[in-house]
Amino acid sequence: MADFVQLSVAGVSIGAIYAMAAIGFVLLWQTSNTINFAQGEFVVLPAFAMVLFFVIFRLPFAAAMLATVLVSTLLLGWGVKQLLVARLIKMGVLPLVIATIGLSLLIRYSLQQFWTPLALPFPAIFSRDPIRLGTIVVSLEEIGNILFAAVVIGALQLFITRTKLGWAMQAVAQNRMLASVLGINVGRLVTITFMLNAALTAVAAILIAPVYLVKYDIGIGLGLKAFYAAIIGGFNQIRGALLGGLLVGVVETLSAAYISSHFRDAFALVILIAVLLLKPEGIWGVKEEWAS
Amino acid sequence: MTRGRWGLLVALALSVVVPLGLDQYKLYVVSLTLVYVILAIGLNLTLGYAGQISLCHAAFMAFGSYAVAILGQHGIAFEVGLAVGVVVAFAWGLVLGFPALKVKHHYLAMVTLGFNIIVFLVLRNWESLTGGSFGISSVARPAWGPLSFKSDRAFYFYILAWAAVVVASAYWILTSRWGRAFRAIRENEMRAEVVGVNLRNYKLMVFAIGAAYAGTGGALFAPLLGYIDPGAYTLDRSIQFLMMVVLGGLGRFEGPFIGALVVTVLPEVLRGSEGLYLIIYALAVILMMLFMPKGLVGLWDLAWRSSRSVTSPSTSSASPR
Amino acid sequence: MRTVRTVQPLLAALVTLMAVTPASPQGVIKLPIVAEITGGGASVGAMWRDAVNLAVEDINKKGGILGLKLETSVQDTQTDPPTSVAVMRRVLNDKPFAIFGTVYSSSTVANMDIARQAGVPQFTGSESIIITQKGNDNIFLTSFTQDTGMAKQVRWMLDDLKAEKIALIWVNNAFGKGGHDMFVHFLKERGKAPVVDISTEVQQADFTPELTKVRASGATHVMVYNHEEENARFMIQLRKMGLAVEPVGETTLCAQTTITPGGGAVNGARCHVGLTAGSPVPLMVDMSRRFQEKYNRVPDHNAFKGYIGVHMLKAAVQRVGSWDQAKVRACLHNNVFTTAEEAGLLMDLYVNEKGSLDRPSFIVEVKDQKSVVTKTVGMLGGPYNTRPCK
Repeated sequence: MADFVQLSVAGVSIGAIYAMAAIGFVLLWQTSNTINFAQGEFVVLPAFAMVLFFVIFRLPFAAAMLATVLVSTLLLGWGVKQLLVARLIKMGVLPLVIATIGLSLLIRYSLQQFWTPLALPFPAIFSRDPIRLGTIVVSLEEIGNILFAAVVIGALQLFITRTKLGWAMQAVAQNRMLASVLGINVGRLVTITFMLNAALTAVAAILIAPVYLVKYDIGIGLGLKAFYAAIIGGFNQIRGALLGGLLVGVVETLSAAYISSHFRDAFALVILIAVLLLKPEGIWGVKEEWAS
Repeated sequence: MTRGRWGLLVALALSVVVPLGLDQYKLYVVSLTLVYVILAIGLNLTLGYAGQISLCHAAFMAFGSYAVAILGQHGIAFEVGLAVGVVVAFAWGLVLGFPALKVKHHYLAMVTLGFNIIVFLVLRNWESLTGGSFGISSVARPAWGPLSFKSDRAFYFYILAWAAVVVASAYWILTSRWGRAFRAIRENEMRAEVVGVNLRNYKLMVFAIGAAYAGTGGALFAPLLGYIDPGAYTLDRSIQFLMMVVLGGLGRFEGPFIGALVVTVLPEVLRGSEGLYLIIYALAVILMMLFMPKGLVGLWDLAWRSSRSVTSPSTSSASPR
Repeated sequence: MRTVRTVQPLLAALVTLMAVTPASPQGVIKLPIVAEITGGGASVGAMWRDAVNLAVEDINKKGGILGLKLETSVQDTQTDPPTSVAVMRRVLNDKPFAIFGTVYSSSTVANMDIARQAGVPQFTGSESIIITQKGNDNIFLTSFTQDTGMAKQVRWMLDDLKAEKIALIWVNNAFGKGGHDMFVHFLKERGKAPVVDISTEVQQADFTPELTKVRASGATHVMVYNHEEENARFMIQLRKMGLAVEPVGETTLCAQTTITPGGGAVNGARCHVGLTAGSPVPLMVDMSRRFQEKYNRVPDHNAFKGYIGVHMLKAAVQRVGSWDQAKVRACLHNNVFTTAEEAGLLMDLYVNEKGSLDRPSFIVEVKDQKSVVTKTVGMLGGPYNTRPCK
C-alpha cells in the first residue's frame, strides 16, 4: 500500500509536468488549428536557455527564469507565429504539421551540433532531501512540482475565464469566423496564444530540467506525452489537459510497477486508443463544433 | 501521350539503364529509394487521395519485413513471405480502417500513432518470434531455383519489377471508380455520402490497400538491408514517410516519386557537411513548406506547363479536409 | 573574337587547377571512420572519431606504419542502421585498408557483412554479444564483449563484494538485453538469480517504479546497466528516495558522461570497467593527457577503444610485415599483443577466435565526482600464446 502511494505521488509529479506541456498544446490547437509537433522542443529550448542564464551567466534564479520566459515567448511564441504559422495556416492542417516537424528537427539538431550532444546537469530548484512519512519517501521536489504547476494552471484558468482577453480566446476557439465578425482581431489573438504557449513551456522547462536533465533529445518523449495527455483529457479544455497529464503520469508509473515494465509505453497508449474510440473529444472534452 | 505517361516511360527507361553503370553504393541508394517509393505510394493513396491520416505506415512495413525474415529463416521462399506479409498488413489495415470510420484527422492520426508504437513494442518484446532487440540478420534474397537475386544488381531489378507492379496497380485503382470515390471522400465526406458513395467500404479499403503496399515495401526492404531490428519501424520512420508524401505532393501521382527521391537522396548529397546536413535538411523542409506547400510536384508542373493529365485531380488543394 | 577571349582565361584556370590539385598520393593508407556523429549516438561517435584521429596523428608523427602514412576521413551514420549500411558501401568504394566504426551494435550488425564481403578489416567499438555470434571473421572488437565483461562483473560482485541479493535494472535495447542475458547467465552458473529484474526504456525520466521494487525486494546491491543520462537520473532519484542499496555498475554507470549530469548523486557508485580515464596505467594516463590537450575534454571508454583499435591494426601489420588484408585478419585471431611491441595498445591484450578481446580491467569507485581506480583485475582466461604472423 505504501508503495502504491509512493508511486502515485511520483506519477502525479511527473504528470503535472506533462500537463503543462499539454495545456499549451491544447491552446494552440483551439485557437489556430495548429498541431504543434515541436511542442517537446519548445520545452527543450528554454531548458537550455535556463542553463545559459542560471548556470553560465550566473544570474539569480528569478532573473534567469524571467529571462528564459522572455526569450522563449519572443522566439517560440511571436517568432514562430509570424514566420511560420501566419503563412501556413491558410493551407490546411498538413503543411503546418510538416513545418512543425521540420522545426522540431531544426531545434533538436541545432542544439546537438552547436551546443552539446551530452546531457547537462541542472541544479535542483527544490530540496532533494528525503522526507520520510512512514515508509513513503518524498522530497520537496515532487511536492514543489505539483504545487508550482497547480498555481500556474490555476492562474491560466482564471485568465481564460475571467479576463476579456481570455474570453476572446474562447470565442476564437469556438468559432473563428464568427469571432472575427464580432470584431476580435483573430491574428493578434493567435499571436498572443502562441506567446502564452511559449511562456508555459518555458515554465515547464524550469520544472523539468532538474528531473529530466537538459539534453537535446528530451523533447521527443515529452512532446508525445503532451499529445496523449491532451487527447485523453480533452482536447478543448484546459482542465482536460490537466486531467490528461496527471492520468498519463500516474498510469505510466503504476503500470510499469504492477503490470510490466517491458510494455511501459503501451498502457497510456491503450487508454488513448480507448478514449479515441469511445469518446474522441476526451474525458473532459466537449464535442467540437462542425464549423471550426 | 499525356505528360504523366511520358514521365513514367522516361522513369522506367532510366531506371533500367542507369543502374547498369552504378557502383554498389549508389546502387544501394537507388534500390532503397525504389523501396521507399513503393511505401510512399501506399501512404499517398491513404492520405493524399482519400484524406485519411495514417501515422503507422512503418508498422505495416514491419509486417512485410518480418514475414519475409522469419519465414526465410525456415527456408520458405521469399515470394511466400512477401505474400504473407502483404496479407497481414492488409488485414491490419482493415482493422485500422474501423477507427477511421469513427474519428477524423488528428484523432485518427493519434490512433494510428498509438498503433505504430504498440507494434514496435510487440516486435521488441516478442523475442521468440522476432528476435527482439537483437533483430534478424542474413535475411535471404529471393531465388528461383538456380536463378538467384543475391547480387546487388540482380536484386535491384527484382525490386524494380515489384515497383512496376505497384505503380501499375496504383494507376489502375486511381483511374477506376474507386479512385474517384477516394477523391470524393477527401473533398467532402458528407457530400460523398449523399451522392451515394459507400463511405464505410471505401474507407476500409483505402486503409487496407495502402497498408498492403507498405507490406510489399517492407518485404523488399529486409533483404536489401540484410538485417532488421525493431528500431527500423518506429514512429520516426512513419513520420519520414509522411514527409515524403507531403514534400512530394499529396494526392498527386508523381508525388511519391519526388518525395522518396528527395528524402532519401538529399541527406546523401548533403553528406559533405558532416553533422550540419540534418540541420540543413530540417531547414529545407520548413522552407519547402513555406514556399511550396503543395509539394515539390509544383516544380514538376512548372517544368511541363501542359494541360493536366487524367490522374491528377483538377481543383484539389493540398489540404485533406 | 568574343569566344576566344572567354575561353582563354577559362583554359588557364583549368590548367592551374589541374596543376594545383594534388594527384592522389601513392604512399597513403586510407582508414575511414564510420561513426555516429549525429542522432542518439552523437557523443559516443564523437569520442571514437576524435581518438582515432589522435592515434593516426601520433602514428604519422613517428613515420607511419611500414613507411606509409595513414589518412582518415569521417562519415556520419546518423545512428541509423540503414544509413550506416549506405555509408559503409560508400566508404568501400574508395578501397580503404581498414574501417574504424561503427560503435552502436545495431548499426554494426547491419553493416559488418558488407565490410566482410569486401575483405576490408573492420574495427568496431561495439560490445554486444550479437556481433561475435554471427561468425564474422572480419570484425575486431576493441573491448570485451558482454560475455567476457559480465563474467568478470559477476565474479567481482560475488567474490569481492560478497553481494547477497542483487537487483538488476537494464535498458531494453540490444545493448541492455545483451548485458542482461549474460549477467543472468553467469549468476545462474553460480547458483544465483537477481531478486529484481526490471527493464527500462531509453530516455526514460522517472524511475520510481524501479526504485520502489528494489526497495521492496530488500536487495543489497543494485546492478545498473543503462545509458549515461538514464544512469544519472536513476542515481539522483535513488538518493532522493534515501535507499540504502549499494549501486554497482559496468562502465557506463561510472563514466564521466554519467557523473557530469548526475553530480554528487553518483558518488559511491562502484563499477567494473574495461577502460577508464582514471586508470593509473602510465600509457593510458599519457594518452588521456594528450587527448585533453588536443580536444579540451576527458576521453571516455569509447575514446580509448578507438585509440587502441588503430594500434591493434598497427601491431598486426607490423607483425605480418606487409600490408596484406588477409594476413592481417588472420594475425588478429587467437593472438596476444603486448605494449612492449606496441605502446599504443595501452594494455596487453588477447584477441580470441571471434575477434573479441580479453584484457586486464579495473574496479573503480566514484569519489568526489571522479572515477577513481581502486583495483586492477587480470585477464579472465589464459595463459595465452603469442603467434608469429609472417
